[in-house]
Amino acid sequence: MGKHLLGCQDLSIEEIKSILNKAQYFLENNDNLFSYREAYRDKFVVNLFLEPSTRTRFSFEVAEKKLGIQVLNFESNISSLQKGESLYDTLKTFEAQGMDIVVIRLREEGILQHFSRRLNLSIINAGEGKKAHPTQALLDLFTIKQYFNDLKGLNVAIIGDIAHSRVARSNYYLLKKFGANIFFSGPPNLMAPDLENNYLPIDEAIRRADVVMMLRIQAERHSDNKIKSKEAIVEYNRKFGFTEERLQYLQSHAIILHPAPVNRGVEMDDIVVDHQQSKIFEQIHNGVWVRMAILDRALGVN
Amino acid sequence: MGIIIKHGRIWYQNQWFFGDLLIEDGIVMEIKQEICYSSINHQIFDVRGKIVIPGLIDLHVHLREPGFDEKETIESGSKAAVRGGFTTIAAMPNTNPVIDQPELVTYIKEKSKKADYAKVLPVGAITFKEEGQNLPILLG
Repeated sequence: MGKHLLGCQDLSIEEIKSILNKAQYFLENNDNLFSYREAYRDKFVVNLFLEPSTRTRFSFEVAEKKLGIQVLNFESNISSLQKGESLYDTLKTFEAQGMDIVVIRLREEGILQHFSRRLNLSIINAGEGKKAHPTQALLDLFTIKQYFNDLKGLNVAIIGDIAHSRVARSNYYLLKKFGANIFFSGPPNLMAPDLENNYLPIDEAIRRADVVMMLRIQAERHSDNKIKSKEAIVEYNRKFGFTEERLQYLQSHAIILHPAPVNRGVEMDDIVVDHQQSKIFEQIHNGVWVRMAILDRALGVN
Repeated sequence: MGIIIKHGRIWYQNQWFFGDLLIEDGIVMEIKQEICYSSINHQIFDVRGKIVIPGLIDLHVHLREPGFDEKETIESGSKAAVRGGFTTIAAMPNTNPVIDQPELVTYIKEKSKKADYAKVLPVGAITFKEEGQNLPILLG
């Protein structure tokens, strides 16, 4: 069986620490990767993104190329998936062709777990419906650990569309393992009934937080179009957004995160996105090192 | 007290693998992605992607000693060997005198032991003085 990364729940604390340590190693040794490029030049990865992605796909591709892995990008609109081939057969085909890793993003939840037991290539989950986005949660954790040594008792506010957010779920399970206190805020109808109900009004959530994690409204996953009109957006921003006025509640040591893409003026005001306590672009930067560590782990021996 | 080699490029299970290696009492005890060490007595080497393999063996080297010490000595040659990953080297006998008697074999063994770099295997000449006539007696 391949060395998969399917979700944060499957990872032991030791494995998580090992991934973060390796990410730190790559950060510090970015100019000393010759040995990796030589060792991995016969390894193949296919990026299979069945949901739109720019940031995550590019982040993976940069990470793959820095490690010298041969990269193939799957385009679903010209592929056999359009001809009715099942996803499982597509993955079996990759395996038969000698791919070592498949980085996959998809809408359907739960089937990766199912496939993983029947495949020798390593599956890396790059976003699975509303369920999981482990590489994002790991890079968030890596970024948090750059500012906070101990996660035990750290207050993390996750604010926005929790219900449709795989980022919220993966972060919830990951940060819980390290003893962080997590609370949610946002529109009551966008809270997640499957997660612990730890709700705070936004002002209070920001006031208490060491880490404020803002989320985008996942309008593409909403069955109705409630938050699409101009009025609805202004209303959302006023009630649940991290506005300029709410900066007064932010603790001076706190950091602001967002998985991006940010909808400026909706969940966050411009001034908050560009605030010195906002680490959004550091998260994106760190994503490369963390994904390199995950790819390296997938190519390791069991 | 053991040795931990961190971030090595290790040839393991027929592939290159980047990880850590633990040696205790001269024996490789563990190879894995990351070895978390609790003992502060372990000596740690972060080799940052350098190759980690069993010591290489060169069956044909010229250490030039005795006789041509200005070119190379047992010490300088065996030191250069370990620098390049060769932990065992076989020294050719065309020195002056030629290695054709037990005392000379012992001399090379002792000198190399004293230098304490690579393990040196002295190679004896096939014929006495390399003259192509008589077989030498190399056992002491």
